[in-house]
Amino acid sequence: MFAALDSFSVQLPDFVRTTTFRWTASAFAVCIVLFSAFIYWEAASYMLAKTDAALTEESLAIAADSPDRELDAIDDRLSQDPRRIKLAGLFGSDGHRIAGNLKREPDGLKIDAPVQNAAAIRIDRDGPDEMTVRAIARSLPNGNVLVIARNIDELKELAELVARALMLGLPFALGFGSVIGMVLSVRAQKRVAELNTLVRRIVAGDLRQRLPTQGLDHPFDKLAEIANGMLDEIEAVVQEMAGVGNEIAHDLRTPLTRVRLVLERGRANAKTLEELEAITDRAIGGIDHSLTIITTLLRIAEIEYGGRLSGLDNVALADLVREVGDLYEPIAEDKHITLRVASGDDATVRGDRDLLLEAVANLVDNALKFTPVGGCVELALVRGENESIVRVTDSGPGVRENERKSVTRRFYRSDKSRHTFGFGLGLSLVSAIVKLHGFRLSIAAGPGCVAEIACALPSA
Amino acid sequence: MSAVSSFKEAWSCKFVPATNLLDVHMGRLRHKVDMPNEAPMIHNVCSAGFILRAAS
Repeated sequence: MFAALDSFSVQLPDFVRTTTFRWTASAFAVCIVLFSAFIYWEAASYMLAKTDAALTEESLAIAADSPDRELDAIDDRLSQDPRRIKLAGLFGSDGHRIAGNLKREPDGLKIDAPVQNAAAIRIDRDGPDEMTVRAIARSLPNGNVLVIARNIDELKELAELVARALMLGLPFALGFGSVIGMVLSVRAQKRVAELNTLVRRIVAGDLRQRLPTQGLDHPFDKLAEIANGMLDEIEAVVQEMAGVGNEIAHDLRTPLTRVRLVLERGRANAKTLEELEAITDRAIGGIDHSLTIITTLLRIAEIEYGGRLSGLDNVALADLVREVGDLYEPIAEDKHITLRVASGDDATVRGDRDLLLEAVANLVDNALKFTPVGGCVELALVRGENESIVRVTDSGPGVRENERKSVTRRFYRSDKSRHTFGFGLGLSLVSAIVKLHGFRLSIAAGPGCVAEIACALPSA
Repeated sequence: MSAVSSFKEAWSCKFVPATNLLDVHMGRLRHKVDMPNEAPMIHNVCSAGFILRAAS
């Protein structure tokens, strides 16, 4: 049987098998059943309360009458009953019927109690008829008992009415729920199909594709935005990787070609041992250059993909800044550049001292490299809001607005720096170190260039 | 002593400095150790680094 059901469900359209469709249709059906039950319950309670109030009122009115008018009042009550729902009876103290359409006092009916359910037998022209009634019994001053009742078959009729409405409404509700479920699930399926097509294109290598968003506060839109952010990042990384491959090849070929030329020329032209040694030294210099590029690349990769700080320690930034100042002071002097060191703010941050030293040293190295002879480089430690800033300012040509993001890219070299010796790796190394520490690197243009590492201070 | 290891020892840091930084510092050291008109004590060892030899 289950196999048969399975084969049946396989033939159903796709949307029927979606959770959206099933839940919507079921929710509509359950809602309509609960709503009908609520209507019945509310209406029945209201009718019962009104019936009870009317019975109490009527019984009090008749009981207050004089004994000879009681009979008239009962006859009046019964004669004004075209729907044949009213019952009344006056019984003697021994239980015999004096007047009314009740055969006898209903069994178990408590006298002088509130209105209650009771089983009564009605007698009139159609013969005895047993029914469930709401009834109230009052003892009269002369010892007689007055019973006033009302047939509550009306409640059954109400229940039947609601059930009939339900039977008519349920298929409609199910149908309506199914249509809404179908629309919702077809829409969802359409978007999933769109996403699927786009994702296939992206997987096939077209990284420029982006998932469509409708600008609504919709889960699909949010998902698309997250995925698009991820794609932006992947596209940037892939482009950088592709560029880096070319640039590594290019930057390694230049020094190696030079080494080859030097060796070739030396082999042909060197006459003495000194000449040969000089040529070998130049060749070694070229090879060292290539090796430094490779070492630095590996170092950046290690910092970027290692993703973890090993030697985490308290680093006194003022000492670090002074040390870098001492380290570069001879070079500045050689180039006739004034190197000013201002380590006023003595802040301590959590980090790897060696890596931070390397980062600051690289910034100073860059500044010295691009500052013309007679210029000025300033290395300062200043206090920002919840952070300590290592600022390197130079009087060099500066960095153009459109180049500021690119300078941290591997091998990026500004046109202005084409003729300066370097690898174009310094700032990407600094950027990797700063990112690893969760600090912030910013390159701004002043009269020259202002490079800042903002180090977050540990919370006290 | 290799150039790089001497630098690391002197500055107690792990990174490999640019060649020109080493050269400038070594130049300074030479300037202080080897007086003019004296036989030099710091010698280059090709492809290895530097060696300190007493002037003979």
